[in-house]
Amino acid sequence: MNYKELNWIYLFISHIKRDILINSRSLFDIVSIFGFMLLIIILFPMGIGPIQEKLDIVSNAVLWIGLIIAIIPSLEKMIQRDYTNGWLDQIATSPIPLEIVLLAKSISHWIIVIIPLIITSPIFAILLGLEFNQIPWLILSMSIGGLSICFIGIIGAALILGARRGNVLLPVIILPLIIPILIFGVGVNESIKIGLSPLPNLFLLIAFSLIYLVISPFISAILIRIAISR
Amino acid sequence: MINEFWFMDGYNIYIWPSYILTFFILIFLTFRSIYLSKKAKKMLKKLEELNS
Amino acid sequence: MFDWLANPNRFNRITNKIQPILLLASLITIILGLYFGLYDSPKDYQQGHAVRIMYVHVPSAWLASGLYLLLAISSIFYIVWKHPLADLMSRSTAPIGALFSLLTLATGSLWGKPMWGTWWVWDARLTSMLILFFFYLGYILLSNAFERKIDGSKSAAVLAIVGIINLPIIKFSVDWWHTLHQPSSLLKFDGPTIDGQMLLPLVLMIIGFCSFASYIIILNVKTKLIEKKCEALILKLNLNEISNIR
Repeated sequence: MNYKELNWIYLFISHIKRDILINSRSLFDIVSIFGFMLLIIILFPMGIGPIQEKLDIVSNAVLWIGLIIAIIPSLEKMIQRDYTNGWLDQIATSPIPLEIVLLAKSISHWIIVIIPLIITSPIFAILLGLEFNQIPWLILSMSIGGLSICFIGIIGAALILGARRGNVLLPVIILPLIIPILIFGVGVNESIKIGLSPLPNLFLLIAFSLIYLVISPFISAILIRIAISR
Repeated sequence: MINEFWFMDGYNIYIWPSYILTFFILIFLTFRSIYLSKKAKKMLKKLEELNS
Repeated sequence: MFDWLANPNRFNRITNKIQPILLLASLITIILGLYFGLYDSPKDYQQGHAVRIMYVHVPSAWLASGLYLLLAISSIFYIVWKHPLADLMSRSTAPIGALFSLLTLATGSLWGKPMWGTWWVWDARLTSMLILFFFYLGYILLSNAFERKIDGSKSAAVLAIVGIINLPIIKFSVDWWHTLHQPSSLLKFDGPTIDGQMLLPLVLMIIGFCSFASYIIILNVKTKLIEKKCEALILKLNLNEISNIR
């Protein structure tokens, strides 16, 4: 095995560890993510009414929308801290490839934000009356869709780097990119409800993750280099 | 004939607002672009005079 | 590459010749299109006179989508070849594209009410147009959100390029989403075939709208070029004053 390749993998994993260590120190972030998710999960039945037939129609969508809304406020933090304390500057001007670091950032964000939400998603699913056979597919689709959202999120965070009130712009910019993920993510569970196979939707979700896996490190690296050179 | 043109079989409340809105946008864009262009040219002339 | 396109003086020379032609063409084709569309064309077999809204709705939709293509292409020119003129073109097309996508939504609404009974319907095309409007909105907001204009230009240009990668994805997923939730009665928006007499005003209006938008965009780019010269002169004035004080 080439020594250089071994170096990159080590770099990747160590950066993930570093990010997880830094971001999990603040309990406040985790609480705010669950707070938003709970807000959506509880407000929707409160607004619609306790009739299970009515809730059944929207429950998959509500779960996914809760996921998206819970993640969006945390996306900006992916890059902001490291930009202001100069860490990104260091990486960009060193021989370390910025793209690998950004890939590691997206994955670590996935681990910190999405995995807790996915572990607790059965509870939310039961609150909304989902069937038991749907929950594994929910977890699978949210994991894969969540990966795409993290990749899209880092592009969004890089776009608003240095903007005034950028975090207010982030939802508007992200919106068109997120919509396909939402459509197919909900589609996985909806097709199970109807009795069709969830695989077409799932494969599309996987395809999106792969597309964004490839393009997001490069596009965010370009944007960060532009931001640093100011 | 004129009646049919005006009333459009009852669809007039949909058709005419569409066309009026279209016109409004076209005219607004035209006048605003010309206004901004004239303003910029005036400022350029003033600045060139100041500079020389 | 393409450096000859980026020269503002050449741009001014070429467009000075084209502009009056564009304005005249748009005036003539729109007036003719209005005559044929409102007066001299038949009413539809199914939709009656309401089909006349198509003569403003379809050109607006073409324009909204086409202008996004223009926005993305000039953004590519800006990021890759760094032509400042490309940035001015992107910034000029964005508000116009946004306005025309709004017009498409509004006329679509007015067309939908007599056809489907509601002001808004989550039709695949209307939904895609709504998302396109948010694309434009995001571009305009992002390009103006930075302290220095050039930062906004670069960031928004990358957004436009990412958007164009996404455009087919979004079209595909919205189409899929719509067919999945299709109500039992399938309503075809513009009929099985377009009658020849209806084709004429439609084509006229499309040409008219496109030439009108080109005229407006060229005018706005020229205005921005003049504003740039003004900024440079202001800087020079300030420098002169400062050196005079010394």
